[in-house]
Amino acid sequence: MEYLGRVIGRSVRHLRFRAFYGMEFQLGEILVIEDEERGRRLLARVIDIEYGADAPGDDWWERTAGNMMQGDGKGGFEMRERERRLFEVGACTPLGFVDGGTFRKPKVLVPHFSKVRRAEEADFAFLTEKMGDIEAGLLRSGDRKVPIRVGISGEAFPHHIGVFATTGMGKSNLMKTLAASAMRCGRYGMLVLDPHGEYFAGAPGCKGLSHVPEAAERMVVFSSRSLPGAHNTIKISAHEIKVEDLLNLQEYSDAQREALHALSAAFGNEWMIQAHTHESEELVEMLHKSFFLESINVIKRRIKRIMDSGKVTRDREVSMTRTVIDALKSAKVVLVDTGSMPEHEELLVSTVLARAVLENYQRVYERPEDFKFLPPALITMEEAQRVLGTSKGTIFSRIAREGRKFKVGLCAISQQPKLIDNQVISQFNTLFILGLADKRDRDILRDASKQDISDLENEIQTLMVGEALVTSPFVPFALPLAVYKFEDYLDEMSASQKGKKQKAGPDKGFY
Amino acid sequence: MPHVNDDEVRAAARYVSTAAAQDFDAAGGIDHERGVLQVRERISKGKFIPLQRGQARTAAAVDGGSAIVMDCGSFVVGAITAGHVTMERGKATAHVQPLRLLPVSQIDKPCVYDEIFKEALYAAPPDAPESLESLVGRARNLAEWLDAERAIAALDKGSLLLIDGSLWAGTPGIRPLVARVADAAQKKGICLAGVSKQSKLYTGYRPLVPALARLGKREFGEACWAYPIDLTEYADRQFGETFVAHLHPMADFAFRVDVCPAPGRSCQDALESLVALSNDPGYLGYPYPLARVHNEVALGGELCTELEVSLKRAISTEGGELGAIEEYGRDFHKVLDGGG
Ligand SMILES: Nc1ncnc2c1ncn2[C@@H]1O[C@H](COP(=O)(O)OP(=O)(O)OP(=O)(O)O)[C@@H](O)[C@H]1O
Ligand SMILES: [Mg+2]
Repeated sequence: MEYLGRVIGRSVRHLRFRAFYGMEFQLGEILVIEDEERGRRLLARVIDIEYGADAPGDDWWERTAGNMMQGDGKGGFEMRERERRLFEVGACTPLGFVDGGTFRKPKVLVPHFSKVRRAEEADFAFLTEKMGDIEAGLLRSGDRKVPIRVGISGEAFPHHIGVFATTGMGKSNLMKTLAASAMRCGRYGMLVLDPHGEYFAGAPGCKGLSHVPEAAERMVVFSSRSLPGAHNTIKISAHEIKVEDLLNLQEYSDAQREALHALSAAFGNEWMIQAHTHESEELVEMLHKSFFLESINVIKRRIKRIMDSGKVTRDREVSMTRTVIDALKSAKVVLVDTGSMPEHEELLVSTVLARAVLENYQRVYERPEDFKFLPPALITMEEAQRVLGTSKGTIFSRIAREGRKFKVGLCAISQQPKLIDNQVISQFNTLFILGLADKRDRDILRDASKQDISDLENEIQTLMVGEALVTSPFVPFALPLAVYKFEDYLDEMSASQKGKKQKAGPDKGFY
Repeated sequence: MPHVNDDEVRAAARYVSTAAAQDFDAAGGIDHERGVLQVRERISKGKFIPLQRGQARTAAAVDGGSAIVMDCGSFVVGAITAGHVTMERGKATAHVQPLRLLPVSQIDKPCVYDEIFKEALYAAPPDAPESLESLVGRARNLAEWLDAERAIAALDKGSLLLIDGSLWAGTPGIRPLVARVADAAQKKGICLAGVSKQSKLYTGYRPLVPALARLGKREFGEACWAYPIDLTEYADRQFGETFVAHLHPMADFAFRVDVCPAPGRSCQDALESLVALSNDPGYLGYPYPLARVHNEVALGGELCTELEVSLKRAISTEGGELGAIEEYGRDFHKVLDGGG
């Protein structure tokens, strides 16, 4: 038990302690304050570290530094009894009392001068039962890893997740880890939309979801290009595309907009096929000449481009959506690799799939007996600010608002949470906050987070790659997390699978 | 607010300027008890002794603290303590005497003083202090010398014992006690050095120590030095040899240092040991053990407030009439100046 110092103040929300000279503790580190009078412990998080000295008078610092600088030039100096005179002052936010196995919010003070020590694994034991089945990494105290697994519950998927970080801080690594964990756990559906095409095989030098030992059984892959492994082709049906989808993805003039709506009104979900099939002049006729030929021409050109992409068929039955939904319902991970597609196609496919999932789950909802057994599904979207911006009424913002009821959750991944609509972001119950350089991004998350993280500004600013804070109403405080490096997590998965197989071996093989 | 007359200011400025420019001339006026002394000889640049940094050795420092915890005019409750800090290879150990409270009134002042004096000197004092404050001050001084005896008993041969203040037996009748301390140090081979933060040595109109510090800086720049002061004419009260010493090349201050070297050792040797102790950047040019012990024994405002509170509580439990006592202690200055 490493004795660090003693409490010197200051209030129930803001504790300060004097630490022994040279005793190192870090921003973000979780410490234990012993309440010896009541036989319980207070966990507290370091939010700032200051200098302290037993100094006679306020100008001691300047004078002493001045004397040292003089001494550097002539005569030298020797700071006597450094350990006694100098110290550090830690400022902490109390997290809560651990009293036996229970955790309580810190509403009272610890006694004056209570002892402060470094936290040990046992101090966090109470967290273990609060941890969910989808693993993300280990508990972190400063930059030290504590061997307590941190995970979120898959049951919380429909409450939506936000993953936010500046580029390169480890968003994709975290998503791969969550997906791998979902495969291992096998209780939830996860639709992973991968516009960078980085999840299947992994970036060069890294590994991907195809390396997850359970992938063969628990992952279904779609791709528009050839991948080094079993996969299906991306194909959606023109019937599944709605006018709003195009409106959300491309700029249209008011006239073109109206024409699109008119097409939809006239042909229902056949509108795209009809528009593709007929000549512009015919369409103008069919729409009772309410629209100029030019408007129809623009629309036709764009539809042609979509139809020619090879991802959209006229055939209602060929679509991938059925397979995707079935896989999700059997609690599998569906990876949709759109790495080789232009952005508007990628978004179109994503939109169609997301809507298909939501609508299907909505239908199951009508049958309570079936709905009870429907595994929650999570749809992950990279660069989510593209579809969750203020003005966008996309299927994704609809899922954020309505999905919860139907067990469909959205996992928005973004470098710029400030571009996401406030209403939408407030729907995310669980936030993974990794290193975020931009203050405005941090401010947005501070307001959106389900725990008070206003004191954690210093910590968030100093997060390193793979270090995160998890906030959610399901954990007692903003949890510091060291995300597993995906490759390490895989190694561990393989090791534990081997262990399992060996154990299972004699039983199965013997008779 | 009174009107400030410019002529008044100019006249005062003229006086100060002339006084500060006076050469090191002899003049009169001494106060034996307080150690205010005129140094008669002329200052000569040739007398400066350059000091090197000596060997670090075990050093202890003695100091005392005193305060008036309760003041009702005709009677007071004083508090005194004394203690020493021993520094050996960078590690300091403090030995502080428990606090002693001295309740005393104008009427029983001589008896109380008699008792305290006898404890230290086994003889009756030749006089009684003028005021209750000076009684407390003398009691502290006695306590410091007694603690110096304890420190010597605990120190090994070759160590250094630092005293806060000069080796000056100012209090009437105290000489045998100081002599006892000096003898004990001699017998044990311990060097005794008294360092005065506030020297009362004057040369003509000027304070001697800063005047020499200025001269030393002008003549030698950034250097350690000592300047011997001849106080032989005060040999009846003064112990050891007196110097003004600049103990770190970059220090802003010089100090009066009285030295009784251990047998067979020189004053210079002792002063150079002091140089080795005076390089803490918090107190550049002042021996660190003295700074340290000062902080150990100081009876600061908080401690005094705490003492006053416990004292008042005890007055009540002892059956005293606290209301009356508080009224006796009221001071209209506090009303006038705030803080009451
Ligand atoms: N938890 C972690 N532990 C160790 N290394 C990590 C961790 N997370 C990420 N990394 C490493 O950091 C690098 C960037 O990670 P990643 O691609 O996940 O970042 P990103 O936030 O998704 O970046 P981008 O914004 O470019 O998509 C990778 O090389 C990855 O291996
Ligand atoms: Mg990424």
